[in-house]
Order: sequence, then structure tokens, then C-alpha cells
Amino acid sequence: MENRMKSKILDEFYCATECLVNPKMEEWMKDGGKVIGYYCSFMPEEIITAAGFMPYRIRAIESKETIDADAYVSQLICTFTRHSLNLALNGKFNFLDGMIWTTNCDHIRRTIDYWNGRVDIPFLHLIQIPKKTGEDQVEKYKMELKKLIKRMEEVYEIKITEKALSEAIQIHNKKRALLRQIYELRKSDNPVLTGADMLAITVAGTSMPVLYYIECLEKLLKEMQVWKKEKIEKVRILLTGSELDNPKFVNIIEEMGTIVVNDSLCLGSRCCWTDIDENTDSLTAIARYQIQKKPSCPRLYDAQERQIGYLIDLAKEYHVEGVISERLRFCDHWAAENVQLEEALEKEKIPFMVMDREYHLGNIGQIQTRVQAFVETIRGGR
Amino acid sequence: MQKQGYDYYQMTLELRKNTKKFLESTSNEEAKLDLPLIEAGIEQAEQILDCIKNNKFFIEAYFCCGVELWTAMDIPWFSVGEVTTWPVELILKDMEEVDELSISRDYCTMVRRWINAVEKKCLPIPNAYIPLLHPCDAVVGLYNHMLQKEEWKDVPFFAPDPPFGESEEDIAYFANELKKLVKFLEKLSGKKLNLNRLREVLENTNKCVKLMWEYNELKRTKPCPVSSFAGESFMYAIQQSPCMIGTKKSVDYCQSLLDFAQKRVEEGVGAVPNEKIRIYWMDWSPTFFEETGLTPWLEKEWNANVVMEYPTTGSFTLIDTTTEESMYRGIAKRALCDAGMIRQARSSSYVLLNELEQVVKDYSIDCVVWPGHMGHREQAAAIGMVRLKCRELGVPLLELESDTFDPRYTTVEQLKEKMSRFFNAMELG
Repeated sequence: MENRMKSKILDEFYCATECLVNPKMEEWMKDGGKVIGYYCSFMPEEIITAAGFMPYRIRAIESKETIDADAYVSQLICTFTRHSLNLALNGKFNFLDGMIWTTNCDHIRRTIDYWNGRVDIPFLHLIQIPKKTGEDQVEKYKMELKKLIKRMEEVYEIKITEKALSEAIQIHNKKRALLRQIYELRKSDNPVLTGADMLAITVAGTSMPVLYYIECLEKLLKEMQVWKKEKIEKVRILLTGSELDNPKFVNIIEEMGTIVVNDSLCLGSRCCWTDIDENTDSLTAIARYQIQKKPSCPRLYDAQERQIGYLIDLAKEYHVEGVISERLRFCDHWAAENVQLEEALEKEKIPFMVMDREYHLGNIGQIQTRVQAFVETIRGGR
Repeated sequence: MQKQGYDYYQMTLELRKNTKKFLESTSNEEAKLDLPLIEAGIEQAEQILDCIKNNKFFIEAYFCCGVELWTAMDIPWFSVGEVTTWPVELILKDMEEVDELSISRDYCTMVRRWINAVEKKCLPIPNAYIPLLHPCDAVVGLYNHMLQKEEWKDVPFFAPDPPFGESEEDIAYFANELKKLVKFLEKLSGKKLNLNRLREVLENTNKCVKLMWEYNELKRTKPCPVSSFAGESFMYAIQQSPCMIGTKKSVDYCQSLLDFAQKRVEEGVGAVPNEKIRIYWMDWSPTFFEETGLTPWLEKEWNANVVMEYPTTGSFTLIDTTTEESMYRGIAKRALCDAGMIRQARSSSYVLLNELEQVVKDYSIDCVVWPGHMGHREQAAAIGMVRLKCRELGVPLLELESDTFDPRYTTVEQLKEKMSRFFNAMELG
């Protein structure tokens, strides 16, 4: 990625996005540290951190095929699910000490049945996520977290104390605050970080020990203060949509005369835009954050205003000229959401494009052609 | 100018009247049995038209959200889902519009058609609605969509939150949601839920469930006394047909279905006289099957009978009507764990696997057909488990790719060809 600033930290983050197990993680495991996997941002990393373990968000970046997964799930299942299941069935996630699912979508939720007995991991658990956002749902979700903690305590013979949870919240809030500072710098009319860089930064954080990651973010912020970039006229884009963990995809978009200045992605800004309350009991605070406070994905009913309002606010704040929604084929959440986004953005007169994609980048030419046409439309309308 | 939805329900009424005429004139005695169901449909359409015209309170809802409650409150209701029961000719016309929506075509056709009905403003605007949040992701998309629509955004709603699990704790949670739903409906409609009336409704549904159990017992007979997919009628009587649920006529209707099957068994007559293939169809029947002649083709060409399908595999249980709490919990359980397709779709794959094993053993199943409806992701995610289970049970499995709501996706001819090849290869015919 030729636009990248020279930075060892940024290089390390990119490296972490290109492999399942990065060197820092290897070091953590070599020292006896446990790693717990999860699929979706509805699983609070804070609980894993409070247990003294490392949270690890599942990606399928090294997967080249889905042959084994295809024996279990049909072609109507998204390629992210199929690739990650394929890796699991081939033992590529056997480094995990446990794995936690959420009922986030119809594709992922049933894969626990395949891991069970076929993947050599000692602890599998599924958390029910409510489908709406009331106080009873906060309570229901909190009960689910309690069950998870109880099981983790039994399986790993540990105690997850209120103090540990409270400290974990503070740590992850600090991480979120640093990420927000980096996002803030991208408001400028000539951001030094590309959208691909930003995604590399956020994704890397899901596979590194959190304290180390925080150190890296602090150093990166210091470095960034002296960075300067030659200004090139680019169309400012906001990226939203399904699970996206590959900076190369963003780079393809940015090679077509755009810069992705912000996003509404679960592996991007949505994971850091709000903090968990530090002044109330930890589980209630986590539950409230997950169900009521953080920018939501379309999985929840009646969170549309929060979801779409968030995106529109970002678009305005970051002087966005167009919104691109990337959707993993067969993703139901985003199929419906994109129709609503189209209407909402039309009212705001913000150009919008939906781009269906597969998990792996097999159709680069097609993506580039579509982005190019979108960019030309925007430029023509300036 | 008529209010929104009036023309739509007028058309619905006409369609149902036509069906009634057809049933009255048919020589097919088994088909004739469905007359009370159609009459209930006519009654409901007239009720909704009356509500639209005379500003009477009515709601939009779906059966697996505690239908027994608003039935006992005598609140008229309709479902967005009713568009999927249209005749093929209308479905095809509708699909031309649906395809123009800017929604991905890999999204469930049923829900795309619902969204189209909302977009085209053909649905009546009720006084309140009960968004459906299970069993799949796609339905949540529909109701999120409605929230943004000018005509719907001020309509009060209460969406009971369905838990994923089936434990006592989960059922209690959903029962609590249903209690809040009743308060919501009482406040808006001015009608109070009378527990004795609720008990009466539930006891009638319980009678229907018991009759369904007996009917299912008879379906174990070889040859099967009733036609392919005939058992689905019980689902309408128990949960889905607005003017039927919880009434004496629903009990009478179920009794007539049972009597018919009983008579056939006593006479030693099967619906397919030379029955050779007994099929378990792992979904609802495709909406276009009967009309396009696919079901009769299965029966005549292959001597095949779909003796069991998702809605009526027998997991319905009785609701304990002794206390208010037991009734709420029973309704919650029925909505989550009994309702056809809902129970198989919403939770762990093991629910449908256990059911598959039971059905194959109990009904002497010769083969399992997996229709592979394009919108059923949770099914698509479970097919591997089904393959393994069928292998373990030694029963052949046919995997189709189809669209239960759009005959263009895989044409009738293609379906026939695939089924024929499979029956030949398995030497089932």
C-alpha cells in the first residue's frame, strides 16, 4: 500500500491483519497466556480481559478455500462464515483456549454445532443477545454474562471479580479513547492515515494483548503529530456494512481516487465511539453499553435511529461526500439495512452505493469499476 | 377515496370467495374439508374491511407472538404474511414489482414481498402492531423498515423479545414479554383480557392439538390415509387462522380432518393408493406446489406421499390452563418451541435433528427432502448436521435449491427432474 506513512507500529498492525497468529500473540501464548475467541462485537472483550485472558476476534484471513465447511453449510451461507468454519475444521484455531458465540446472525450462530466435537477447544459457549433495546433486555443480557462468567470460572478455575471487571472496563475505555483520538485526526482535509490504515489499526487490536496494543496506539499518536502528507484531491468516503477485517479491500476503494475518512463498521469506529460507564456496577454497565449505548448494527430492532443517526452525524462531521456500504453476499442484516440507509441518505442528499462482496477479494476489477463510476458521479455533482 | 388497505382486503376477500366456490364444486372430498378454514378467512377479511371502514380497533401481528392473547381479547388482526398465500398468477405479477426494489435478491423472497407490500402502501394501517422478531434475521429487517415509513412510524407497537434458548428461564422471560404485550393492547384497545375467555380459547386449542396427535398417529399407517402436506391444516386451526383459533369451529374442523383419516384407515384406503415413497419434507410446503400440479405429480408419477412436514411434526404440547401464570408460560412455550418452522429455525440445530430422527422412525420414512428455501439461512447452516443424521439413520436425503415463495427460482420442471433423478437413483419408485 504505497500511500502508507513510514511507521513500524503501523507495519506491525498491518502484519497482524494478515495472519491469524501475530508475533505478539505468539509471545503471549508462549508465556502461558490464554486466548479466548469470539465472533461478534456483542461479546464484551472486557470479560475476557478481566479473566486475565486475551480476547481474539475470529477472522478467516489465511483461508483459501471452503471445501470442508461446504460439507456442512450450504452456499447460501456467507463466505466469512464458511471460510472461518473451514479454518476451524482444519485445526487452524486450535490455539484458542475457548470460544464464545453470540446469537448475532443466522449464519454464525449455528456453527457452534460444528465446532462442538470437531474442533479441539476445551470451552465453547453461546450467549443469547436480545433483539431489542429495553431495560428488560439489558437485564436479560446481564444474566447471560453472569452465566458466561460462572462457566469460565468453573472451567478455568479462576475468579472474575468485580474489581477485575472494573479494571478491564477502564483498560478498554482507554483503548477506545485512543482510537477516537486517531479517528479525530482524520477529520482534516488531508488526513495522514488512509481508511485502510485505520482499519488495520482497529483490526490489529482484536488480536493483540490489550495493554501492549494501548502502548502501540500511544506511540502511534505521538508519531502522527509530525506526519505530513502531500495533498491530493480525493473524494471523501464513509464506509459501512458487514463484517470487514481486510484493509486491502479499503485500499482497493482508495486506489480509485477516494479516501475513506470514517466508517460505521463493527471492526471500526462502532467499537470505540462510546465508552462503558465506569461509575456503576460493571456487568450492568457492560450490558447497557452493548444493548443501549454503543452505535448498533442492524441486528437490533428499534435501534435504527441510533444506527442511522450515528452514520449521518459522522458523514456530516467528517465532510463525507459519499457513503459506500459493503455487504457480504447473503447477509440479511445488511440487505434490509441498506434499503433504509438509501432512503435516509437520499433525504440528506448524500450519494450512496451498495457493493455486494465475498469475504475474499476475488472480484477486484468489478469493485474498482463500480467505485470509479461512483466517484465520477460524486465529482460530477460537486 | 378509500382508506389505505381497503382495496387490498377487498381483493383478499374476493380471492377467498373464489377459493370457497372452488372447494364447494370440487369432487375432491379431502380438499372440501378445508371449507371451514376458507370461511374463517372470509370472515376475517370482512372483519378487517369493517375495521378500516368504520375506524374500529385492529392490529397487525404474526401468530408466533402470543396469538391466543389477542384472540381472547377479541381484537381483529391481520398479518403482513397473508400476501404469501396468493395464487401463483398474482405472485408472479407481484414478483415483477418485488424485483424492482433496491433490496438484494438473495434476501428471503417472502420478506421481500412483505417489504414490497409496505412500500406500495397496499396494507391497511392498523391501530397497533406487534413486530415479529423471530425466527430469522430477515423478519427483523422488515419491521425495522416499517419504522421508517411515514404511514407506519406513528403506529404504536410492542415487539415481544424472543429468547434464543428453550429453558424454563427463557420461557418465563418470554411470558413476561407477553404480559407487557397484553398491557399494551389493553391500554390501546380499551379491552381487558378476561382470563376465563383466555382459558376457553386455550382449551379449544388444546382440543385441536389432541386431535392433531391422533391424526398424526393415523398418518403412520401404510398407505398414509391423507394427502401430501394435509396435516398443515392443523397449524391454521391451532395458531394461524384469525377467525378460527380457539373457537368451537376450529375443534369441529380438526375433528372432521381426523374423522376423514380414520375412515380411510378403516377402509384400508390410502391417499396414494399404491404408495411407494413416504417423504419427510423438511419445511413448509411451497406455496405454489398444489396449484402448479407438483403435489399431484408426486402422487401420480411416483406414488409418493409427503406424510410429514415441518408444521405438524407433533411437538405441540398442551397448555396448562389452571393459573394465569401457567397460561402465559404455555403460550410462550407454544410460540417459541411448538410453532411450526419457528421451532426448527430459531434455536440449536439439535431441535430439528431430534425431530428428524423421530419422524423417520415413527412414520416409516423412505426419504427426506430438504427443499433448501433460499431465504432460510438457519436451515442452510444446519444442512451438514442433517446429512450426518440421515446417514446415521440410513435414509436417503434429497437436497433441493428452491424458493418456497417464487416458482421462478427453481422451476417446477427443474424440481420434477431433480426429484425423478433422485427417486430413480435411490430405486425408490
